Amino acid sequence: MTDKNTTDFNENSMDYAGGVAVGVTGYITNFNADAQARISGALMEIGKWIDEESGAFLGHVKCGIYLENGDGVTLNLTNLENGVEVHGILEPAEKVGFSILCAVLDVDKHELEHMLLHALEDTFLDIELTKGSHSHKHDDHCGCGDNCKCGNHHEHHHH
Amino acid sequence: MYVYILGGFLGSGKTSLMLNLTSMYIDRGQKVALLVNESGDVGVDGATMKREGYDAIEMPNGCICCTLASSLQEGLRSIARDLKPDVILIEPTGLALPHRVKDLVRIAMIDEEETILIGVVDAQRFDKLISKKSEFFDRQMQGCNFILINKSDTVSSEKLAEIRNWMSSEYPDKPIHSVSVKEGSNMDEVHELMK
Repeated sequence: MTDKNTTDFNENSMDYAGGVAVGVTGYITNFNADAQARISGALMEIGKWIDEESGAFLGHVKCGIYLENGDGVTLNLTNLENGVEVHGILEPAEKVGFSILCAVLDVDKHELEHMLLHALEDTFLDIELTKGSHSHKHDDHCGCGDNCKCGNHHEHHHH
Repeated sequence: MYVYILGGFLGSGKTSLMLNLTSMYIDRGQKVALLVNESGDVGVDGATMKREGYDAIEMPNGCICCTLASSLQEGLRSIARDLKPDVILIEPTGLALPHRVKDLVRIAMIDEEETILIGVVDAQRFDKLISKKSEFFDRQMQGCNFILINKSDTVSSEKLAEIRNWMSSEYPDKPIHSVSVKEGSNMDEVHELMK
């Protein structure tokens, strides 16, 4: 392979790679081991969708869950075979902050945002989003219409 | 002051490597500054660093090799001027072209002794990445001073040898080391390379 040492800083490397990145931040009330497992499940759901859509899950879906003092746990999905890897331990807490970042290749950004929000809703956790996709609004029923990829999930608990 | 750029695809193990090297430098009694870039508008790696007791400067919402190029340079000047570290470790997003980050470090004129680019390759997803994005992978390996084939514990020795042979034939001028950052395998070799 030849040495392509370009210095064209106007070229967007994400676009070149076909990459998209979406993320949300927020709070989870009543965090415990079960809540952590549900978040892991959400990450896997997103990962499986990405794998189906793009033909290969290339990228990562990661979630940091933390207290104000910095204590926390990181959930990391880079390979569906390995599942979600857990780094750190977080004890049950009344309220924790969280950040989720999906950075992957070859999927539609809007659809990825859609899947991320649905996956979080399907955890049935008490989640308050503070940053993320506000263009996709959920009501007590999924109002995605004909293009919805929710499958049979047409009712969501909304907090 | 030395600058290390940890380049490689998403999920290849750059953050784990950064944590490992940070711990090593602290054990050596050296002052290290961390700069973490994430492509999304949400950062997770900074919280990971904080959990481990390290403060990192986060640059989310873009790529330091292109869209955040000027932020990177300002950040580096600020680090050099205010923190005066012995080492700066930079983790670009896994969608960055690391050799461009190296160029930007040079242009920032922070009086570094040397900027060294470490390429990190995921052994487990190697075949998939090469089959789908070989050109992007190649561009990410451009300019690397040495390459780490990470997650060596996740593949068979035969597969690892196959990957290593392929990498050696494509990049004959670059030293290649097989490691598992998570398990600590061969990390002593890497530590000896770090100035």
